[in-house]
Amino acid sequence: MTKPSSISLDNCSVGQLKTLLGLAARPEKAGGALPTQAADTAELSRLLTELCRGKGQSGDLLLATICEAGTSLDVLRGIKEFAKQLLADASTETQRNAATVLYHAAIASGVAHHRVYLSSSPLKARVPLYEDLAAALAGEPLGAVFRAAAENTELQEGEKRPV
Amino acid sequence: MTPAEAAEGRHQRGGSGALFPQTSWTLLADACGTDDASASARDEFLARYYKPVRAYLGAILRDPEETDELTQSFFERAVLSGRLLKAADRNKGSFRPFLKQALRNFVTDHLRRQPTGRIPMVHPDAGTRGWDAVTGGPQTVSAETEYHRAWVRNLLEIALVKVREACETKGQEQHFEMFCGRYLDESGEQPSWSDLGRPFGLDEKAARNRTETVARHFRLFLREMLAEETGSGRGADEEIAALLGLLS
Repeated sequence: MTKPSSISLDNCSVGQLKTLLGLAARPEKAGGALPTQAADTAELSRLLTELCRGKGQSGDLLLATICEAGTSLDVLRGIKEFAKQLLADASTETQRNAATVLYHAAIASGVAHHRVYLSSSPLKARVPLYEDLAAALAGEPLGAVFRAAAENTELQEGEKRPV
Repeated sequence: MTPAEAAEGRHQRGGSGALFPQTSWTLLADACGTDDASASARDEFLARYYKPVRAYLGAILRDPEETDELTQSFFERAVLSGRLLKAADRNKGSFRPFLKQALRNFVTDHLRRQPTGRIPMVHPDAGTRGWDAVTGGPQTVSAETEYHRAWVRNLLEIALVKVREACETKGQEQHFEMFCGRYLDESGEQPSWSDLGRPFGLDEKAARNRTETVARHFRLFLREMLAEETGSGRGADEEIAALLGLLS
């Protein structure tokens, strides 16, 4: 059976239309444009490489390292601090967003792979952003990292170990 | 291509980037040209606005054949002729009320041209029953309400096609099916998360997570479309609030 190419809402009630519109009307979560920009991982990697020029790193390598479950916490801490440097060096909004995604990705990787939260800010406050990033990056290794971090509810409930 | 054909073919053309590639104002300008790109813009314009236009006219005329004819006529004589473009001024507000006002003027002119006696009133705004009096009988839903509902349906359908494409690209067809089951069921009921996940062998939490993943895609796409159309994220918020307020 072939799948119909169009989607029709002709039979949807007004209540359902309101519910669907309401999904988009929810207040903007933390992070603003980050999920939208992060969704294009090739561009994210390119921006990070651009920021890393002269620093001996590349966007692809940084992102791959973060996504690798065997990456040590020390390396993740290093990437987190490196992201802060990149953020300070960034000259455009898109570069700042790329560096910010890298920063959050390093922290999320700590939660996802080591159950250790590499930040002093409350993890709970970051979960909405991680959820948005996980949705934007669904199907990508980096999306899985954010998803795992967002769903680590036990850690959120008191097992977190701020470092 | 007729307006109806363009509307039906909308979802078959192009990828996600082909839908809402530009604002309604620029699309209108492109559609009024004469080159090959204009033909594509015309099809896109028809695809975007056929349903709201037909819904508005249909609610006033209450005659399917006459509605089809006048819908066709509106696109040919008011839009593609360039008349609408000449009157367009983005600084005066959004495209949605602008198009509705153009429709109102168009149908008023049409009704004025009708033989005496057929239409009981040609100045509907001045009457106590307004547009409900145009066909001389009570109407359950006003033309404006029909227009706004069709507009919202059209907007949401375009966003959903984009979401479905994104889900297919990411191997999330099942996620999309659950989203549809949760929000688009014709019964109007929202199944529980466990009922939603059961056919897929998923527990409540997994069903919820997967559905919410698609809800986030949907939110992003819809907001991007509206931000592009209105020029800002704040404009998107205002448009969503306006559309929610107009749905009744």
